[in-house]
Amino acid sequence: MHEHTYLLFGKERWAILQHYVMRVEDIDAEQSPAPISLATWGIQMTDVESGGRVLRIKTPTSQWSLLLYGQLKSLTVDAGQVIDLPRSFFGSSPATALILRDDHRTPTLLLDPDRLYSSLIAAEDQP
Amino acid sequence: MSIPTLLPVGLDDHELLVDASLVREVLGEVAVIRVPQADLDVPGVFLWNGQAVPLLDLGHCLGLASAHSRAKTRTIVGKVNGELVGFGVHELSELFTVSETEFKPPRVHELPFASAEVQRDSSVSTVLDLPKLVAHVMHIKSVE
Repeated sequence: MHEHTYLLFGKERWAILQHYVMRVEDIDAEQSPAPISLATWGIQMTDVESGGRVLRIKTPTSQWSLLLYGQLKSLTVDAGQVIDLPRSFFGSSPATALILRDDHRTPTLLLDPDRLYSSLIAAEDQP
Repeated sequence: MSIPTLLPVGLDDHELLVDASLVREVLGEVAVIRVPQADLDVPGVFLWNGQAVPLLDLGHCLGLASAHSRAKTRTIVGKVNGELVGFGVHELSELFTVSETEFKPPRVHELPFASAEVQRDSSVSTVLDLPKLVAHVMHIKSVE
């Protein structure tokens, strides 16, 4: 059985592969550059459950920090529970797959950290 | 020459005719998983037979803003251009066949992706060019 562990956030709607998360830290107001938030995704403060934390993310091609609010959850699933999204329809999205849940909850969307970084930076640059 | 079989589907007040040979299954309302940063034409996916199937927003594709106003209680799953796709509609009617001579050029309804119109009782229905619509959503320039 081939398993991977994912870090879930955003009320378990989204996840990234835990392998890319170097550390999880409390917010440091002095941190420079400032961590990137998901504010450009239109997440309302009513979605926020508790204080923020910063994920230090490192991939072969990028190193950056993601600011998150709410609970983080670690989830290990078999590779058979991860279903690829058809890229021909969702090439502009950082989401790459669905992670099916054993508990029959709504599946979680797996995000590619490099695509996520690019899309958040692009959104922040827009007026 | 084969006689086309069409599936009439209702989207608000519009009756659209879909090539039935493209349809794989008709479902009820499905649970949509919204995909971040997706095109408005295809805002999410749903699970079907262990696959993540893109759900087209037919109302948005056709410029029918009012089609968002109420729940789409039926979901059509089709295989188009080699890809599985789904789209929600408000109503379904019985399949019917038409002869080629009944297809008229689109004149009554000015909808994008209309390939023809067919007289149905007292009204005129639009034949939807689903391969062309899906190619547009997939950003493919032409369909063989």
